[in-house]
Amino acid sequence: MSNQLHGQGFRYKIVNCECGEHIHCYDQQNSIYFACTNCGLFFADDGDGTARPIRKFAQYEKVTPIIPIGTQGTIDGKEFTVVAYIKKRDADGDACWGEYLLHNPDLPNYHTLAESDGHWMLVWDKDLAEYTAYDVGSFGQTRYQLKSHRSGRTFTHHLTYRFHIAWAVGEFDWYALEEASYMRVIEYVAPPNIIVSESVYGTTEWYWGRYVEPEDVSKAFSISQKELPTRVGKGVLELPVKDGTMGPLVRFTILMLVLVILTQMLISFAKPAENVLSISYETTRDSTSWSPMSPLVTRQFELKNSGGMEIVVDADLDNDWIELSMALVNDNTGKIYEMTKTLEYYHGYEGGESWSEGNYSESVILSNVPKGKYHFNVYPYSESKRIHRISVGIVHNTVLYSNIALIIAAILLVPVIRAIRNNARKNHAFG
Amino acid sequence: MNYFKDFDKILRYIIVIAVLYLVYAWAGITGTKITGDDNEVKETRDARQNRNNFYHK
Repeated sequence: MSNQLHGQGFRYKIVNCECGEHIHCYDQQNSIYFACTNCGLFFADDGDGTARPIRKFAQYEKVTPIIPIGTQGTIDGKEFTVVAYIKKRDADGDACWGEYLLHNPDLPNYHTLAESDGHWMLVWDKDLAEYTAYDVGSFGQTRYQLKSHRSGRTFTHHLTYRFHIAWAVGEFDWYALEEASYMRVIEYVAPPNIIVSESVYGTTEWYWGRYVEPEDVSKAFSISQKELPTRVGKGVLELPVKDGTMGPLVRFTILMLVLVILTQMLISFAKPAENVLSISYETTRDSTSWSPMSPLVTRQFELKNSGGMEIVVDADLDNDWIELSMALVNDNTGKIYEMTKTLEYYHGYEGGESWSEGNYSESVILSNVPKGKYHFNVYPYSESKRIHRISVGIVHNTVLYSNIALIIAAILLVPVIRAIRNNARKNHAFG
Repeated sequence: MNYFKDFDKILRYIIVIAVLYLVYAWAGITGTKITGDDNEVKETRDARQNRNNFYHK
């Protein structure tokens, strides 16, 4: 049974649930289904004064909408009345969200204000003929995007899901429960907007939506922001917060890069690279040595200051290998820097193609070698009986390129990540 | 335009990068490879020193 009433300056009627609860009906002409706030009964009002029960929601799913049914509010200059609330779960039951149905008698369809994890979006029907779907999938997988042939703006696929209604209150102008059982929803996003397609019974309806800041919801429905659910994480439609740090970040990065270049120039000027040893010799057989090849002991050389050192060795290899055990000896202190390098170089012609592998040159970097007098020993070892020509070059105060690469990478890391993120989001929003 | 405007908003980041820069500058002055010597290198004062001295003329 129902009664016509006037309330708060607009007309509504009262529909009675079988549990005795009174349900306000604001869209008298169209609403024919109702969900009871109290007992969770979804029923039809056939207009003959009787409520035809359809389904009762489980009480453990019961939820009280934050925006009460009947609340009036203004969004985008349009006045709405909250006429229903639906609690939805995806088919797997993992995700749960709420949707408020907003009614304006001058509009043909509801607007939907959806809330998930404290993030809000407003969705309504819109002519989206300018958008065309196209497949951007790869490796045999289909992945659709929507692209506007007017603006070129692209919406990327976000979710495809089915859902069921776990709880509902208010009034409906369609049999929401039945549709929910068969409906397939696809969401395409380009923050702060979303395009939603709902397919059921062979027909597809398209909707347009946008992100709504919680404070806008608060203002629109005169609800304290404290009552709204706390935002969890970042909403898929949420644009990055403009915190004004990108400008100073870019300027600081440029400043640091210039400083690094200047510092490196200054260091190179103060401690120029110096070729302290360059020698080559041919190996000979030595029966007195632990190695069948005679070792090389270089002349003494002096380092006038401490610094990095690069030792480059190479050997004339031809499908051969040689192991070089080396020692840099400080003649003042007896301190020894030992190192071993194996050089190998093989090449050939096979299957109509030339090939080669290995290297006949290697280098070693020594860190912070103190000043003093040094000599350099090389102990070659090879199973080959041929004579090898071995060259040794030692550069003191060598430029440590790995240090430069590291500091530049450290300086660029955060700005580059920020720029890529911002750019990606910008493309989504305005592309 | 003040080049240093709003640098206070990224102060913690500036401190981190400044520390890294100082490490880089120290490494540059002393000739230290930040990631360490090539891993084949080791310092020793073992008996091989005698052999090295033996070969050194």
